[in-house]
Amino acid sequence: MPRLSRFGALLAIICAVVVAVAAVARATPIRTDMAVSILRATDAQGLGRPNVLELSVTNRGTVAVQPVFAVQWDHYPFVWNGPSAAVAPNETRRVVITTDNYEAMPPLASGTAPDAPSVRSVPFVVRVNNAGDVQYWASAPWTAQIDRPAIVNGHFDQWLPPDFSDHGRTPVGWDNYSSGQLPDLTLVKPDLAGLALEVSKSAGPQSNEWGEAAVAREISVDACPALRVQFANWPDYLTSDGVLPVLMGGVQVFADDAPGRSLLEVPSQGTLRYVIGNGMYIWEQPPIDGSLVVDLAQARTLIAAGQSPTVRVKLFLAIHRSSPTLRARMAVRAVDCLAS
Amino acid sequence: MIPVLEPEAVLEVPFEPSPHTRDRAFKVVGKLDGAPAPIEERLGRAAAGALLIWGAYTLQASAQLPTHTYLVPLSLGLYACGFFALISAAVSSPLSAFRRQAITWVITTAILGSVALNAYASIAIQNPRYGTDGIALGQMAVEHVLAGINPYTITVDASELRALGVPLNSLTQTTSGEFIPNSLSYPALSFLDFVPFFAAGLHDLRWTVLLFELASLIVVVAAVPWKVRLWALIAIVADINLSIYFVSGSVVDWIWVLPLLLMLVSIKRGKWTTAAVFLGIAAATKQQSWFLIPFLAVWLYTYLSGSVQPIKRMVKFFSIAFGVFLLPNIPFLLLNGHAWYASVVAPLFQPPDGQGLSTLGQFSMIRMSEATYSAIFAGAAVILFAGYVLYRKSAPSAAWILPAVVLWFSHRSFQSYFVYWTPIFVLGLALEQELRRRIPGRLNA
Repeated sequence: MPRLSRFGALLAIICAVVVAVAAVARATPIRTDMAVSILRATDAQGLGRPNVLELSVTNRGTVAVQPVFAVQWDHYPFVWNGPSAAVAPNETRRVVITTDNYEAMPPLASGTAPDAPSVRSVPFVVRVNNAGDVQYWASAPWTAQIDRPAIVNGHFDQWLPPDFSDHGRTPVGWDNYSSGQLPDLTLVKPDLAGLALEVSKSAGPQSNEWGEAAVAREISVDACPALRVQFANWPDYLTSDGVLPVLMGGVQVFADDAPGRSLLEVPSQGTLRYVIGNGMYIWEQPPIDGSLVVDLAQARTLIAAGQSPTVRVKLFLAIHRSSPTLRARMAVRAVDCLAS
Repeated sequence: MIPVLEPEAVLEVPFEPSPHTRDRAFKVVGKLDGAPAPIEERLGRAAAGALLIWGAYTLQASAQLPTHTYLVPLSLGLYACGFFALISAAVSSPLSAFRRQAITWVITTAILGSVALNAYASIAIQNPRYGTDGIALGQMAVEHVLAGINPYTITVDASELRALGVPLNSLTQTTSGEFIPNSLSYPALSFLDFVPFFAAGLHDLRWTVLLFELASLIVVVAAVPWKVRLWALIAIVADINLSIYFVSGSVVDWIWVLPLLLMLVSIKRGKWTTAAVFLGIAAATKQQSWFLIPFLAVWLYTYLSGSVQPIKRMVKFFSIAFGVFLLPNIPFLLLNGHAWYASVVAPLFQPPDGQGLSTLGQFSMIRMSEATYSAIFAGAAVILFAGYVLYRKSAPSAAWILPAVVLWFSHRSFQSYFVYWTPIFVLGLALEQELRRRIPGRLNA
């Protein structure tokens, strides 16, 4: 008997394995077959991302399918909520799937103008499988076009998962702008009221000059010419000399094309408007029923942001190291857009 | 005795030199006691320089410099080291072996520093959130152990993992759309490794993983011959996912890589019992290391077959490893053996996922039953094992990378299942000749 070469032996083993795998595949055939296509995407929650998808699902197989729907645009799929009723063989059905979780919503594609009335998502697919089975059917890639909301998550209902950062948490649709460094504590937190900002400042000439807890987001002035900011509580506005603030909390408006200039509207006992040397306009204003109205169009003109279509709105609480009060808290219930 | 000169120690003498030139050339040889570095070594410095300049830039890009100004001088230091490495690659004049080794050490240290700094920035600044359910479960297991509770008996709600910062897409879901009953899926050292560090205050487990990574890289650079040191390190850290982003993304696999590296170093030193202990530690940490065992058995048999009592030596080696594997797991096996077993085999019953062959099925390019997935995985393992048996003498170091190939065919085949074999493969490859020499009882390896 001729001696089998090493390569021949390996080839024989490969052939045997291929035959065995083919036999297993033949013995366990796939009896399900589905087609799925995306018909429409909408943003029912005003979060600026698609969270409702209308689909067409067709069962092309010979057994009923209990569909499980997932949306995917990168490595990992997100399961969405969909109807649990089985789709019978040869049945085509329109279904609506939804998600309440911001992370499960396809993010927006970059490059859209910040004041564009509508936005596009990144391309995504919908994957369907029969519950309990490992076969998946995927739709063709789809890009959702949705209306841009004037403001996102203005009642601070949705928050990104917690992390190990020094600045607490971040509400969905906003950026955490806290800038304090240890030993200062500058925290953003979910609160029963909505959002809480907390600052615990260290004193002394060696410590950081300011400790600030803040969140901010970009807002289109055309879509939202004015804001109502409803406070649950706020600190007393303090200055060192009647002009220069050392403890303040409120709303700051600034723009990328007007560096160094901003308007600060702060809840206070009386009405006072002035500008300090470094380009900051400070408007002290008594809240009405806990609310301040911020005229963004007027603020844009004031800070000489020209025709900038958007401004950044920051909710902030800041303490200077020379402040007599070194701990403060501010809570904001909601930020709503006013049409005019 | 006639001294043997290495080829690189010979200085090229100019064609038909004048007596004056020849005298000067001999003086140079005598003074420098060396030779020009070979082009492979110089290219290694160039590659390292490019890597360092990338590291310096990436550190600045990811560090949010206005609020982390202390990283500015460190980044500039990386630039300096990068330019030093590049310029040193250009040096063609003879250098003593001592100076060449010193240059290699400087560049090696700089690369390790670059990895540490970029991983730090990625964890602490860019990505302060856990990225996998595995690490969050690990943290909960550590907390339960410290509270005296058997972590294999706890089932964690998805919301508890979310409270630890795990993003939604990192929670494993079943094919029915439910979250899996979240419980530990690994042997006991997967969390016991973290206990002392957690108790000492490192509550973000990624810092401990980073310590394991840096220790692993140091083991590699210390163990390999200095002439291949740079290339060995570059082969590992050039995959920036492996060296930086998987750590910050909460992949913990360096904790089983380190003991396998130490196993190889122990074999190199002829410390067979110690090597078996490290294999047992790796096996008691994560299941990936189990896939090495068949290939390691063939590797050992190949080299021990010319020695005294090879089978007995192998049995002893694997018995020690098995005993070490059992040691940290025994308390949990005794407390609740079923819970331990169910946890350790859990990955087998989770849906297809990852980046390997099963990607074809995940995106409906092919459709296969679960049995077919399993048959492909088992078939691939058989072919690769048989191939290694047949070609073990011509490609012995394949043993250190074939487990990754097997796992690529698994229905769950994440990138981390493959790339963490790279350091083990690189070290095994770099030590190939030395490992052969350390086989006991062999006269001529």
